[in-house]
Amino acid sequence: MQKIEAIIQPSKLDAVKEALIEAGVEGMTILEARGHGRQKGHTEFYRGREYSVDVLPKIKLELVVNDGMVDATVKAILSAAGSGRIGDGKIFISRIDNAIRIRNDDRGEAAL
Amino acid sequence: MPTPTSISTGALTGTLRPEYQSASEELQRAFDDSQNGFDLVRGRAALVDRMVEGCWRVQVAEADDPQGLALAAIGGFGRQELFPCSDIDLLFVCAESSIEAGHRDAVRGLCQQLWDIGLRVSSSTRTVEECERMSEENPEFTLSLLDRRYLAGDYELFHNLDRKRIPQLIERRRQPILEAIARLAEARHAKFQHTLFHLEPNVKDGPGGLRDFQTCAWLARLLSPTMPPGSGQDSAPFLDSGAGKSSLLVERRAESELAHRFLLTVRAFLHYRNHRDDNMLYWQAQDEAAQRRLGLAGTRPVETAQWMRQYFRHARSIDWLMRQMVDEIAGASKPSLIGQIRQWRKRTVLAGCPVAEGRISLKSPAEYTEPDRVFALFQQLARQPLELSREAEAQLSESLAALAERLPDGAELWSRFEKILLGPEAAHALRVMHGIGILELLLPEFHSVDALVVRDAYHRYTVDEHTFLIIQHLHALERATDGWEANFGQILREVEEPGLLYLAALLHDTGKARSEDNHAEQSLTVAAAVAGRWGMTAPRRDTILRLIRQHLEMSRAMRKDIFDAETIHAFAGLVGTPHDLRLLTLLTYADIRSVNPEALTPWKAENLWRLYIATSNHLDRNVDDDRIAANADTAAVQSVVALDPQRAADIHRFLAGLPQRYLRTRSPEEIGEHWRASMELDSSAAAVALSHAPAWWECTVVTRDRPFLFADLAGALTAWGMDIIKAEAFSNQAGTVIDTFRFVDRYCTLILNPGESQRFEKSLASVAGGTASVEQMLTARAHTEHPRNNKTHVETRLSVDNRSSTHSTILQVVAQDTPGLLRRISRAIAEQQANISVALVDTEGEMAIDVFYLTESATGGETAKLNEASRERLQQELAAALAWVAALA
Repeated sequence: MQKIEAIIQPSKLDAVKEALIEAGVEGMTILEARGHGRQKGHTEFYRGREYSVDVLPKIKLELVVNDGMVDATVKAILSAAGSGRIGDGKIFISRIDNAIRIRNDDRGEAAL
Repeated sequence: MPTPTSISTGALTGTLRPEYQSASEELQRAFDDSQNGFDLVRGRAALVDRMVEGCWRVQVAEADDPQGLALAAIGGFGRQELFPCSDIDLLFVCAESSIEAGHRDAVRGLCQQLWDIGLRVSSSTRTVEECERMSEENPEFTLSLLDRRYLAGDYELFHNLDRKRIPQLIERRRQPILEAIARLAEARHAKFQHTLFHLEPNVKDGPGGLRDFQTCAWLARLLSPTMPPGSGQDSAPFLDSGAGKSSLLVERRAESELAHRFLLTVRAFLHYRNHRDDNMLYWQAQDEAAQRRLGLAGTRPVETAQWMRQYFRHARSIDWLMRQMVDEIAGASKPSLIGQIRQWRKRTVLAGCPVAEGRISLKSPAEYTEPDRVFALFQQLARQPLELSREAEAQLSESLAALAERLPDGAELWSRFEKILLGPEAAHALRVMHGIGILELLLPEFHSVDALVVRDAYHRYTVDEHTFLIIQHLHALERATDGWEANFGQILREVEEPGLLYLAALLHDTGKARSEDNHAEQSLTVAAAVAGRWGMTAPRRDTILRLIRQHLEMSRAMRKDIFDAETIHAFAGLVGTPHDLRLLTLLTYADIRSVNPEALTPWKAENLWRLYIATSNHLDRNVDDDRIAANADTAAVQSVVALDPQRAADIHRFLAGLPQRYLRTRSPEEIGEHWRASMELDSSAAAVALSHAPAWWECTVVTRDRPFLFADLAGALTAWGMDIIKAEAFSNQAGTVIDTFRFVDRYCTLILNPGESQRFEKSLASVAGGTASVEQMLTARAHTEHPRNNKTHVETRLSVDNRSSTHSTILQVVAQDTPGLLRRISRAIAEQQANISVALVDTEGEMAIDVFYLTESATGGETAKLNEASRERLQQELAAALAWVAALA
């Protein structure tokens, strides 16, 4: 089992969700986040006041999938979230030791 | 002490268990047939009584009841309201601790046997002395004793506790008990945001639910400590007439009892449906309840929304009962308790009301049909969070028909209603009006969303409650001092006619009663009808309609990349003007905030704010990119041409080259007047039109462009002692300018001297025509000027932007607002031979925010942006001109 964390543009959320569902991935956690990589923020002026936008709004998706689903999941995210511009985001993949369904104590891949 | 034998215990269980199951199934069948929750809960209580008595005989007292030990039912079981999945609350009362120790095994055995039969027991053992003490950490136990009922054992012991000890406890500790009830109720209501209008209400714990009804019974028992819990067919004996009961309470007893029985039925249904003590009325449960016509008489099929309206009707009755009981117990209690009891009804905080005990009343029944008095009443409620007395509520309800015949109509009705909408507690006043039926009298269309449940994964409240919350959250912005609320509060302060915003908020979801998918369009139909009926001017009506039509657009834009220029450009094009942007931002903020308490996360609030400032800046910085073409044939242009179709060519020539913003921010009639004035410029140098609003004056000058024009007009206004708060300057292709100044007449010159208005207009016309010297006017004025006492310090900022506009250099100046500031800035611009093609001047408190679109002459008679050298010189000149402002600070 592997955990996939994807930081994407908020405007891409609907498209990514659809792509993941089509790929057969239905369980995910969605978090509102802020951050920046190379896409540093900028400063906006309004009514003489400075509003620095040094961290930008992002969406973080967290999914845990079977090893066999990792490639399809990543492909779905890349196709739906990418625009070719700085700020598209990143995907991180890590190993998961175990997963447990709270309702009925299913463990391992059965819990996914 | 007799010891129960294992054989008799097992045998008993073998007998009682099937008996219990069979009887329970029979009760469920009877409930399915009759849908009578009252009979069910009584029936279950009687059944469990038999089970408990049987087990007591075997486990504790084979022959005689032991001395010094009694068994009582408390809580729901004590009041004979036992739901299918509720716990059985038992209290073992001991005369002293030694008796408790001596019967410990028997008590344990009894409880175990009841579990074996299939009952979920929650038991406690206390000595009489312990029952007489109220624990601050566990007030719930003392409250459960209010519903005590003898089951078995030493009757004298129980009788002593019931008739003497507990009443004495109540007498001694009435205040702490009341406080505990108040605290628990407040905490419970807070979990439901103090409203009963949830899309998926909790029948037991929510406001207007069974726990509230029970709280009323407790309050009544605090007044009459020996009053027994309900028995037989009497659901609510505490509502019987008796000492301390108002006639109002007694009159509505039937309604209260009906509401109680309805909720008993619903909760019983939920227990059977969910097979556990789950009291949430989820959507699927609502559908099933409606299908079964649960709690309703008759056989006609009923839709879920209709059934839910019945639910809310009953919940409202319980809510009313609770408020009335609070009034009565507070009235019967010592004065020091009034604040304690009412404290937990935070929405009804007392405040210096002229009527006794913080309740507003009308003096005589005749006043209830007098529109002046009734409007004054609700305008008062909208200013202060006071409550209406129950008598006033009842009388108003009964007087609706008579009041309807005497209501004003048209603009007068809107004028009076607007005062309610503008009050800081408008949401509270509207809820009261809605509950009585007066809101629907003024706005019949609102009835369609009364307690309307619209299925939505995010919304938590009924449509009407959601609407009231929007108005509540908007008003809360007026008091916001930090965080995002302070930012949005600043936007609210810039809205010129907030009454239109509140009316749009009130109407924006009325269409949901007709169509869930396209409710904005349906709401428009409602709003147009209301605006017409209330005699609103076309601009006001159109503002409301635009806001309702667009009310979802900002949320949609937030789902896109809000830092992308294309997104901002498209959204700005949709909104059109800064005025509409402010209204839409505020409505979007409050709309999201009112979906549910967690909906407007800080993340969303920040994005909304970013989208607002990006769009506002775009609107201010792209004015001259979007100009009216010479042959434009848009609806807006056509509406102006329609004023005089035979002069269409002249009108087109006038409009050509003006920014679209001019067209969007003026009515066709205003534009028509400007056009006509421009046609007279051959014979008169300038046309000046002056108008007056309660808080400001506005003058529009139509004249031919010339160097220093804007600076001279600003100077003339300063010379007259006027404080410019807003200004817009536009010019067309033909060189005609339309300069509009909004100002405050600081010395009330125009108001106090009616003839001065004409002299003022002539003065401005002369200045515009270049025949009057502004310098002389300013010199004559100088000695009368006094330095201002500024409350805040505004740092001067200059920014020169050569990228945002394709045609012009954009200069933005932010500085301390001071008389003469605009004159100095525009004079410095003119001295650098820069042309002002657009000026947008605004003030925010003591801050002046001035935006100028500047061009300079280029080859071939064309104009172009300022070149680098010009920009540098301009900045230097402005810095010097504005140093005076810094010196004044």
